[in-house]
Amino acid sequence: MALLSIQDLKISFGGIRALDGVSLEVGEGEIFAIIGPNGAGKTTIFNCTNRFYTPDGGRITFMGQDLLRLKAHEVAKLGIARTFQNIELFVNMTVMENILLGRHVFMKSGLLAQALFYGKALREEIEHRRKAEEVIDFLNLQVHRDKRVGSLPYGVQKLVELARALALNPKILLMDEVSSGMNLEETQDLMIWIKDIREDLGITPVLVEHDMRLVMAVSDRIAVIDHGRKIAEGAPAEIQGDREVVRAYLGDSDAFA
Amino acid sequence: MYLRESYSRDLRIFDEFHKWGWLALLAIVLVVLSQAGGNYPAYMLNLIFINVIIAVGLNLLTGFTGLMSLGHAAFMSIGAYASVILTTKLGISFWLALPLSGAMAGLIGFLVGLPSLRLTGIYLALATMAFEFITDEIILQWPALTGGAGGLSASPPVLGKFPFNSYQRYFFITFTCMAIVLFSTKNLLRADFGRALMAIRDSQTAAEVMGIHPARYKTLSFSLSALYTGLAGGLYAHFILFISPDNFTLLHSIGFIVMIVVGGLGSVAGSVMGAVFLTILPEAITFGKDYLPLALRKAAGLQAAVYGIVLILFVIFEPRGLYGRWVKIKIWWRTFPL
Amino acid sequence: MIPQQIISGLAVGCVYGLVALGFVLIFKATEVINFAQGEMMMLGAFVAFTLITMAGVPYWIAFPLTPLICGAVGTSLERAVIRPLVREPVVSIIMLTIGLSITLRALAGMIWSYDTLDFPHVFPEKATNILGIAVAPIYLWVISITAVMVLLLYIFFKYTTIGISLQASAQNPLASLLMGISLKRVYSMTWAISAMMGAVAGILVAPIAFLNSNMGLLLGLKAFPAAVIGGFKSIPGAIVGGLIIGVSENLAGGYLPVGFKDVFAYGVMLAVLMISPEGIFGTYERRKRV
Repeated sequence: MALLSIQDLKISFGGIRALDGVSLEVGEGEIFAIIGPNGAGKTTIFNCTNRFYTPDGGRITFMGQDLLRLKAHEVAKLGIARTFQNIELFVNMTVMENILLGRHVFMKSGLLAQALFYGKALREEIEHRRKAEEVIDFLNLQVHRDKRVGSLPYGVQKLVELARALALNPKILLMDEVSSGMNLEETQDLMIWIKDIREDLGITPVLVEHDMRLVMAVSDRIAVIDHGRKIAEGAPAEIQGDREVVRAYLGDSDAFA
Repeated sequence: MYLRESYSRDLRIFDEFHKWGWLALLAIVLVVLSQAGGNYPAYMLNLIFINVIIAVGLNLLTGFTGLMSLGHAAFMSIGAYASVILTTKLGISFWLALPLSGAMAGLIGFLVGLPSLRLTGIYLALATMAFEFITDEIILQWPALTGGAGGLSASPPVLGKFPFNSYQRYFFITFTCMAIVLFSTKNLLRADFGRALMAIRDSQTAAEVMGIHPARYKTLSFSLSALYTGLAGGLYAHFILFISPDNFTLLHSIGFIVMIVVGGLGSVAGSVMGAVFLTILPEAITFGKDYLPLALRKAAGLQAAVYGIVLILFVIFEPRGLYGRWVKIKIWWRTFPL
Repeated sequence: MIPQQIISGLAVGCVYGLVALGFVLIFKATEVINFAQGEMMMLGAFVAFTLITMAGVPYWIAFPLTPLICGAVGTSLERAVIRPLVREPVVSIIMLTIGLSITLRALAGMIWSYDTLDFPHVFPEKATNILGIAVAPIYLWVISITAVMVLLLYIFFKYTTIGISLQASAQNPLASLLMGISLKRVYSMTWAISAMMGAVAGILVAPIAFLNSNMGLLLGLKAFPAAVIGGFKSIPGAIVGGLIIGVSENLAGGYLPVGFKDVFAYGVMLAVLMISPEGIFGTYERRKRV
């Protein structure tokens, strides 16, 4: 059974068909990439999965559960994490606090316990700080631990967002253009991290990406979206040679035929 | 250089133990000042503590959760009137009436918080403003319960045979309440609850992705904020022993906002600073009046004008408030090249 | 009685609408919430009052002169106080204009005192007969002037270069900048026009309601319910909203307990906010999230 199953997803925004019957299946443990020209609807797929949008038609199931019956904040508990194209960090908090928010779903202390703090709430805080440190170590963010996120360079911010998502201990990680704004070195580190996320942490990465080097290097399977429709799907080698894909990206000019 | 060697050290309220010493010293000074300094300091301190509770409550909602409220004076009045009515008309002991009125304000805060789930920014501010006006009017138009425009009188609280009928004695009540409010708020803010609120403030989208239930936390924030403010209202009522609708108007709500803007949004220490500032300001104005030209001195709107100008200046030049300035001074001091 | 109430409601509604118009204009063009809009109205009323009673200027000259003076005040306020904060979060700007409104109110109290002053009565008291209903001439004046102002504004926005550039910068500031439209000029213009609208509202309302430094609070704040009902970014909505508030307030006053008439407008606003925050003319867009 596929981990994430999207069937015939349809959604329109004020007359524009953003998604027109997209179907995808992501198996557990595979690195799956969604690529396509700008405005194709890739992020919209993620946004529907996260339940920011309610699609006009179609189904989304995760581990057999119907996601469309849930609200946005209930999705995290199932083990779906997400990073955003334009960073959505909590800019006024430190890196550690941001990552600790990834542990929110595991925090069990009630309001009263937290108000008294010493005792149950304190123990929980310490336990989850330990877990947050593991993520910080994984992504080498030790230096930035207590810095205010808003003051960090863009590349680091992207990592913090990734760290926050990892802190959720998710089963699947939706990464929306993680590599945008990263230089060559950072992208190479990213490639290693994505593989490690799959190998060491047992998380299934799903990427929306523009960086072809990255996509071709790490993905097991790729789906290509154009104008709200899936136009190709397969292994990286297949996609590279696909006529439709080339046409979608480069236009109809016969110079490439 | 302060090195943290364990997670629990990370979480402390004061990172260095001796700071608690300074706090204890301050407490002792305040106690002595209130008891031995005469009626004026005792009066002012009581007022400051009540304002601190309000400022902390409002900052929790506006500074930490990012929700604006122009109607907090209404919560204060609900707490005040509830407390007086419970003690005077129903004969309930002050020690029970006070938390009850806080709870009542908190409950209403929950209801007022419900619109906040759909409204943001200015719309929410307007909705709270409407709430303020409507509450004021209801109090005014229900003389049987609230005494209408004539107001209500309250009696000082008694513990056994001991009446708290002087500013000096009341000091201990307000001081204890303020301490409890400060301690519990600081705790909530360093735990998951506080982080969740700030997450909603900084990015509701990301907060939802992290599993934070926006509705739950927003309404909780409203309730808690209202509860604190209602508590302050009850304390206020039994302090000045007479309340009327004039004590709780839109202008007072705005005054509360001035407190947290001047003190520093999103900071407990800032709330304290703002409360102190705002309580002392009228006295400072009265004091400084003598140095102004005659025309200004007699002017009826002088105090309001100063409030307005202070608010404007702080928003433009010190957006992080007094606390922000304090932090900058500390950093400057620490990095001074000598 | 009811037709009278409707007429006077329409007249007051026109005033609310004018203030709301000024408010919506600023919001549309600059995303700034001007809590001091009511004080613009108050200033207009007081300036006109001073011109007429102390400088002996006849009403017919004071009427156009006052908005010009207030327009200048509005622009200076924008330059001095608002412009430094154009990109700050909403909360800051709301606080700023709240501070502005407090200060203006206090200054007015200092200059003109907090007493209620008597605005000179320029119009005959005797009611004329329109379609069988007795209507005080002042109400006719208010309604017709408002109609004229709305028409002028319409022409201004649709047919003058400045008006069109104002619309452009409201819809897309960056593109307008690139087209050579000076945003600074736009902001100044917007505040000037809003102040003028407010001033006209003040001159119109002072004889029918009252004149004191708290007018902005008591009357002017009702621009908010008007703007909310009409749809926060809609200019015709502001007027329509004002009229609805003015009339319904009057009619409700007959049925509600004493005192609730004053807060009726806010009750309506609350209801609208809860049910349909975008008002009558506002639009609901499916907000594109990240």
